[in-house]
Amino acid sequence: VQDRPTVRELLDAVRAFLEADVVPALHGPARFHALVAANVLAIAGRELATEEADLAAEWRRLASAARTASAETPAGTEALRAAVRASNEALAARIRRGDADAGPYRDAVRAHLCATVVEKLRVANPRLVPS
Amino acid sequence: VALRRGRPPGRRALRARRVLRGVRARRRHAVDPAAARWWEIFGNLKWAIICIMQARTFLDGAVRSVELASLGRRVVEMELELLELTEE
Repeated sequence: VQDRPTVRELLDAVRAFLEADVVPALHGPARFHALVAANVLAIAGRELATEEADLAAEWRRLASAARTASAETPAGTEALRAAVRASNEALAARIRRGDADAGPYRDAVRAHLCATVVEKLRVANPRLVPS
Repeated sequence: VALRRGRPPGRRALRARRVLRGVRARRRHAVDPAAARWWEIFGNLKWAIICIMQARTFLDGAVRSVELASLGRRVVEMELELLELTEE
């Protein structure tokens, strides 16, 4: 295991440096880009904390919407991420075919998408998470 | 499944209502809410596609800009709007 600071702590340190020292010293477009950079580090920090759990939750919802609940959850973040991506492509194909235009499958897909959007907003922009 | 069912309207809905009231007051005839909703969906979809294209410019290595990169993570904001706007 690596020594402290953790990745999260390192990201937070750089973000604090940007916000406290870099942003006030800059003007115009460079100042704006420093603020964007600080925000991007905040996103990265939040994602590190929740990615594993969010991926697993998204995988479970995709499997139940596709009625392949028997499918085993892939081990390891990389395999899980690839499996979720493949399932999302299959889901997009079904939506494009019109399967989710009406009926219970539409409701199931909407419920899944709403949950996914909330998980993504908690990382990308927590202020916009619907209360 | 609702993101906001039974809850007070969100910021977007309030803003849209204010804009529609303003338009009605100035033009003395009603705005078709269905048409307004269509254009709002169109606008959000358009902005989502623009953000995806901007992020693509970064990902392809054409422009290594942190601002373009960050736009990839704003697409979810329009996904939220679109889910709320297409809720029946």
